Amino acid sequence: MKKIFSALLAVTLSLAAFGINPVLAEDKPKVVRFGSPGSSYGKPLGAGQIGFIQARNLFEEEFKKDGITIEWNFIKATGPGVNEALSNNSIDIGSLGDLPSIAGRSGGLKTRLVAVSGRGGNTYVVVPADSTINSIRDLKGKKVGVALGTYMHAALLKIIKDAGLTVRDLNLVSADSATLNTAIATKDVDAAFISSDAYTLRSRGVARIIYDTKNAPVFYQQSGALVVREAFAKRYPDTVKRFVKVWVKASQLAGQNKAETLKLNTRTGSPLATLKEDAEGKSMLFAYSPVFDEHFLNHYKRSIGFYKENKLIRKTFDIEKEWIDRSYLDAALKDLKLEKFWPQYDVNGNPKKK
Amino acid sequence: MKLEQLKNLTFALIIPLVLLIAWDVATRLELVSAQLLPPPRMLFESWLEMQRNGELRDNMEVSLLRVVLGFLLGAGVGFLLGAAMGVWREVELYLSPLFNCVRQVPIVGWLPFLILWLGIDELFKVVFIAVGTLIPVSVKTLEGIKGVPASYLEVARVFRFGWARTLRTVIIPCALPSIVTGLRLGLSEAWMLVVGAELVAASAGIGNVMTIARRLFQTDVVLVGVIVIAVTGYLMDRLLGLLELRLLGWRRANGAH
Repeated sequence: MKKIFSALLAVTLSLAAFGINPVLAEDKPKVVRFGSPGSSYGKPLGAGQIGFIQARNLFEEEFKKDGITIEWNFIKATGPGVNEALSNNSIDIGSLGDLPSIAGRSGGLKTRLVAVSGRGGNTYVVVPADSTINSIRDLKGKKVGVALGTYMHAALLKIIKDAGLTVRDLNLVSADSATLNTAIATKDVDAAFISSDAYTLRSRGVARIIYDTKNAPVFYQQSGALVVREAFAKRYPDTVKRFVKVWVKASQLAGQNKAETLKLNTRTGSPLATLKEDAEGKSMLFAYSPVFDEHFLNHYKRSIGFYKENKLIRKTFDIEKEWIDRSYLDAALKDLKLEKFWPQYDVNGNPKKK
Repeated sequence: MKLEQLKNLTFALIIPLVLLIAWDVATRLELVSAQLLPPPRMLFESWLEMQRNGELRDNMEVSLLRVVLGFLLGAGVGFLLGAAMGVWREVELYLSPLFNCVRQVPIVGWLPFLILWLGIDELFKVVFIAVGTLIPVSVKTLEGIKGVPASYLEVARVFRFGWARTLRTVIIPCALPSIVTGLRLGLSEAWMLVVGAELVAASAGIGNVMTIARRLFQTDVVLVGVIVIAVTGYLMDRLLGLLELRLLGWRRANGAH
C-alpha cells in the first residue's frame, strides 16, 4: 500500500514538474537522421565511433526508452554531399572532414560544431606501378586526380605547395575514390591523392605510393567535425546532448581498443591489413578524442586561413565565437565523468604534460 | 518600328523583373535559405568578384573555344550529310534509316561510349559537342532541300540550268531558312553540351567552375554559372538570328513574315 502510494506521489510530482517546467517537456524527434561520408557502395568511409555505436547498440541503449530511432546515411558524394544533405534538411547531424565542414560553414550553412569526429586521416599520393614519377615535383604538368572538396583536396594543396607547385601546374581532375582507384589501375591519371586505399592498390600491384602524410606535420592530416543543424539543435537541445553523449562513449571505446576499432573499421570495405598499416604508430586516443583541444582549435583556425588563401572559401569566420557550441560536449563529459579522460593535445598533436 | 521594338522589349522584361523581385523578397524574408537560393545581391557580388579576378573570362574562353570547335565540326559534317541526302536520292536511301535510328539516341546516351573511346580530354568534349550539333543541322538541311517546290526545279530544268547553277540559284536560297534554323538549333545544343561535358570531367571551363563550386558549397557561384550560361547562350542565338536576318531579309521584305 505504501509502495503504491509513493509511486502515485512520484507520478503526481513528475506530472507537476512536467506542467510547470516546459523545458522538461521538450518534444522529441521520432528519428535522428545522421549522415557521414560513404563509399560508392554506400558503406561508411570512416567508421571509428560509428562502428562502435552500431556494433554495441549505443544509440538504442540511450534512446530506446523514448522510441527514438536513428537513420544512418552514408553519403556517396562524401563531405560535400553531407553539406548538401544538411542544407536541404535531409539529415540532422553530420560528421565530415575539415575542408567540407569549413566550406559549408563559410558558405552560410547554419550548423553548430558540437564535437570532434576523428583525426589523423592520412592522404596518400599514388602513381601507376610502372610510372616514372617519383616525387611530388614530378607531378608538374601531369594529370592528377583527387576528390575535390574533400580533406584530400586540402592535403593536396599543402603537399604541392611544399614542392613549389601550385594547382595551375597540375592538370587536376576531380573524381570520387572508386573512380580514382580504377583510373590509377588503367593509367587514366598519372597520379592520385587518395586515402588508405593506397595500400590496397599497392598490394594488388597496380600502384606505388610516392608520398604519404603519416610522417608529415600533423596539419597535413585531416580533423573531422561533428555538426548539427542549428534549427535541430534549437528545437531538440536535449536530444542533441544525449546524442553527443553516445558519441563520446563511442569515442572512448574507439580510443581504448585499437585492435577492435580497426576490426570494426573493416566495415568500410577496406581490408584489415590496409587499416593496420594506415594506423601504424597512430594514437587512437588522439584520433578519436571528441574534445576541442589546442590541436583541434589550431588546426581549424589555421585551415580557415589556408583555405581562404587558396580560394577554397571566400568568407572567414571565428570558429569559437561563431561555430563551436561546447555545451553539449561539456554536459556529456560531465555525465560520463570523462572530463579528465582525454589529454589536451598541443598544436603538434602531442599530449600536453600537466 | 523603333516604338514597337521598345514595346516588345518592355513586354519581354516584365516576367524576368517580377521573378527577380519575388526572388529578392523571398530571400530577404528568409522564406528560403540563402544556400538553397542565394539572394540576387549576393549573386551580383560574386559575379563582380569572378569578373574582376578573371575566373569567369578565363573559363568562358575555354568553354567557348570548345563550343566553336565542336560546332564547326558538327555543323560542317551535318550540312554535308544533310545536303548529300537531300540532293542524291541514293544517298538518302542508303543512309536515312540508319541516320534516323541513330538520332533517336539522346546525346547523353553516347556519353559512356564516347568516354570509353576518346577518354575525357579535349577530343571527347569536341566530338561530344559535334555529335549534338550534327543532328539538327543535317535534319534541317535535308528538310530544307526536300522542301524546294518541284515547280521551281522544273523551271530550272526548262531553262537548262546546270547542276551547279540550280544548286546556287534555286536549291540553296530555298533551303536556306531551314538550314539556318538547323544551325541555330545546333548552336544552342552545342552550348548546352559543353556544360554537360565539363561536368563529367574537366580542369577548366564554366562547367568545371560550377562543379568545383558545388563541391565547396558555393551555391552562389553555381548560380552565377547558370545565369552566365543562359545569357551567353541567348546572345549567341541572337547573333545567329541577326545573321539570318541579314541573309534572309528578302523573305521578310516580300511579306513572308
